[in-house]
Amino acid sequence: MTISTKTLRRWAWLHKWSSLVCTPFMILLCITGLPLIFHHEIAHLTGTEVEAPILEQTAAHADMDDLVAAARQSQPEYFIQYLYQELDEEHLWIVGMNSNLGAAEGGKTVVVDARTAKVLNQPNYEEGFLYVMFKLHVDLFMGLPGKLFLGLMGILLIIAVVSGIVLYAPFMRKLDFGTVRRDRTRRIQWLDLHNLLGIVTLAWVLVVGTTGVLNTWADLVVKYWQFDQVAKMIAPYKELPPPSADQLGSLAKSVQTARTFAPNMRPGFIAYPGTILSSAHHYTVFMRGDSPVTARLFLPVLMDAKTGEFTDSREPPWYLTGLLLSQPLHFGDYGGMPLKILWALLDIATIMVLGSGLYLWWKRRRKPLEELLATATLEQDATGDVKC
Amino acid sequence: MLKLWLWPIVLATLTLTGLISGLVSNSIGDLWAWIGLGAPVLVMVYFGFVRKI
Repeated sequence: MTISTKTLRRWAWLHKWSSLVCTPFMILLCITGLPLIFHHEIAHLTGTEVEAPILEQTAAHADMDDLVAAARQSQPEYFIQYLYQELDEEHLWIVGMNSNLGAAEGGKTVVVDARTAKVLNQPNYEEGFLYVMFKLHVDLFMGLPGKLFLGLMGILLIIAVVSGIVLYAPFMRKLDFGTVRRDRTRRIQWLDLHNLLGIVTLAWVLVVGTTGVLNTWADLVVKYWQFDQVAKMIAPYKELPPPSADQLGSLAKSVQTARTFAPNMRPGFIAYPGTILSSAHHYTVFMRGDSPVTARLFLPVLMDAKTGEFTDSREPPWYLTGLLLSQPLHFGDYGGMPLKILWALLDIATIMVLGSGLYLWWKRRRKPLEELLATATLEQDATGDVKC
Repeated sequence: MLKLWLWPIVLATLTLTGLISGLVSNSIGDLWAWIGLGAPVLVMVYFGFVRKI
């Protein structure tokens, strides 16, 4: 197979510019992503993670109404927005509260023991090292525009990787896999390392990059789901005035209704009426399954917030399922500590690919591609096309 | 062609099957995920930093 010098030059141009634009941001994302892989461990070591106390007797789970009453009592000025349970921690409910039901930030978090309904802690998740890393990684402290911008950089990364694969062929054609010519100049050594680390991390970078891009669209996907499926489920309530806070009925009853509707699932996330993940009239209980995959998916069940009666439940659409499944593939949090360590090592290798790419560009920034091709052991046929 | 692409294809296949198996199954799936992602890491360490030629 051959590739014309003109085509190769186009791919080289694409690789150079897509990489140059996204590399500073990708290095930032790789560096801030590194501590986020171990956020549980870091929070545990620094004592900022709330852990369920060991009880002498194995207690049954407390009444959900007592639980939310305890949370509300600890922050009387705030409204409950949601309750959330981590995948591997059934003894805790993390309660998100805010003075404005629709707001995503500036709220309070109250952690309640699911067995005793006692408030364990009120951690401030909007401060500290991990919060700064998280915000830099997710939206550069710029909200949705920041997310979408990083998503765009992610798309450039994907273009850079794909064009890099095309360029790998002519550069490596005459070399054995994994060759690093240590007897040559420093630039050649780094070129070889760039090619080696780049081609080996290829699949992982594409998966983590693509799922990262998908995650930048999460807010929009949820909004679309509201508009698409939730709107249909709550159509009968369209003309009714939303219930005021003191008209809300028992959460425990709603949760029980959801459990009865989906007996083989358990509640993982509960959204209060008026928040972005529910309607103005409903408690939405997101039920999760018990297999490794279904535990990460959610079945939304809507209950009338006044009566606790079942309103509707529909299988989440493909785009929501896709978003939920893309998250573990971005976080690397589904294979225990060994997977986290491998995730971190692949992340470091990616930093080296990015850094070496930048170095190679800097060294050759004024040299035309023809000269680059001449030093790269390319083999050209009689017509000047490059074999690959 | 094969000489050029054999190892990249093998490593990408290991990576992708590892990423998916860890997600769909816990015990054996996680084990395969560690192997599938561990192999590329070992290859990088060996060729990039251990082998001296």
